[in-house]
Amino acid sequence: MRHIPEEELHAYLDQALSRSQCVEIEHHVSECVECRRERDAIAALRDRTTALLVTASPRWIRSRPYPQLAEVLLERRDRQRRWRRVAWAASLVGAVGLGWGVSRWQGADAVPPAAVATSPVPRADDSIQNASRSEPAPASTPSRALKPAGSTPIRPDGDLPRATQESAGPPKPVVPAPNGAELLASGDAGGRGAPVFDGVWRTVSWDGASESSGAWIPRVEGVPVVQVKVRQTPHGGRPLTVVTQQLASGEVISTVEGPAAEVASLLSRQPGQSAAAELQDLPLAAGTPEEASTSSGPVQSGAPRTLAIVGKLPPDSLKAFMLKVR
Amino acid sequence: MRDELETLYQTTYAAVVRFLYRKVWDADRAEDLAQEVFVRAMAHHPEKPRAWVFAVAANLARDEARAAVRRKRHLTLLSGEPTQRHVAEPEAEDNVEHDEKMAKVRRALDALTPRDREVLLLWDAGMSYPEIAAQTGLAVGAVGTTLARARKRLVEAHDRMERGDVRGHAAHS
Repeated sequence: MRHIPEEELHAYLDQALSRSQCVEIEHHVSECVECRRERDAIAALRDRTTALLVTASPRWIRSRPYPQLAEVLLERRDRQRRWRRVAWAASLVGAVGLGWGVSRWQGADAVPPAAVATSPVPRADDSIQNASRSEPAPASTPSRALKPAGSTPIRPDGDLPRATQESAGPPKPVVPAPNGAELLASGDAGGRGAPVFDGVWRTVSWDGASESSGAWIPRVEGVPVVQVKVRQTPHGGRPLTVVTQQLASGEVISTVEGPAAEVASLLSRQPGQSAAAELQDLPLAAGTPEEASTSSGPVQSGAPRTLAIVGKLPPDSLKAFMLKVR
Repeated sequence: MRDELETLYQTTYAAVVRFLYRKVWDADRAEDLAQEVFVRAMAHHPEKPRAWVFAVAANLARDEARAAVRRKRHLTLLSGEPTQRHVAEPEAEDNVEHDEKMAKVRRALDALTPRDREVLLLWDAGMSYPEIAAQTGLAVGAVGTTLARARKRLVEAHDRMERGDVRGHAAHS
């Protein structure tokens, strides 16, 4: 006679067996004393286990009404929705900020085209190119030809280098003038804060400027030279020179050197710009161009020469640049 | 679906709290976790809500136990001293007796293997053999064997503690 296995009796007492299995076990147990004893022992063990586990229960159990759970869920969903919105907005702001930062960084990192075109120490070929530019325009040239700005080098065949054409920005109209000088049609600046020129100016190379002035051309050391312009004075002698340099920030400063009256006159026509001027051994003066021109008394006498820096920068900055003039 | 969950909540909540309590040994925490289980059930609408509820409860209890271990380690590090089991001041004699009994059952439960303990607690929560099998990964046929072993070991471990206590008291007196 086969006895019922222990685990089967457990399953029987736990009502985990099918009806037919239960009937079979009940039939066997009614006839088998040993299995009946075993069944009773397992039942007692089962009851004992249940009793022990009841002991290991909390003394009381608090429960929330079911609708409160629904409220908790709604609140949580609302919070999640808010968080999602905040996260979305934050990621959007972050992406825009990142894009802006990258574009700013690239913009700051990129070398201005004019600064690429020239360097503080001019090369020999620059002077050739600039010399070719300073030649008189042919008669067949229309009165308003398109010409690139600043000292952008021009090939002997007259074509602009491709990269320069792309980076030089919109071409500026140039009016041919006597002696090969260029008259810029509209307040040519070549950059932010460049001075407004009037009269007959020649754009020359660094070497050309040194030759024409016959002496030292002042400029701020360590800043790329964008443009050198020269204007003859009415009384002859050393010309008025303007060396335009572009800072890393994009701002442009111009170092002006020439007869005091000419410099004062030029400075007085630079609206919205500051200037720092120095007259031989006179102390440094700073302020608006008007102040600079009036504060240096001997400027108006015409005899002495003045060195000035002009640009859309605070006077203190210009003073600092003045100290770096070589 | 909502009615079904509501009925389940009313009939099963206490069992879920007890199931959780025997894992985390903190009544308040067990209640919080049980409510969390039902809130999640409302959000997920499970197909077999009863089995799902106990499965999630077991997972939450496991996470809670891990977190408790981390907290304990952290506190040990902070204090620089070994942690001591907190014994609440008993309010009445029956409370003391109840606490003692519960401590023994707890120790007896701790003496079981994790699988035996899980099967036993799920059975006590009213789960059927197939449900226990589905949750623990056992074959349905193995649930009876595991349960038989777990019951026997629990009672034996408890009896050993009882006898140890009696011997301890006798030695004391």
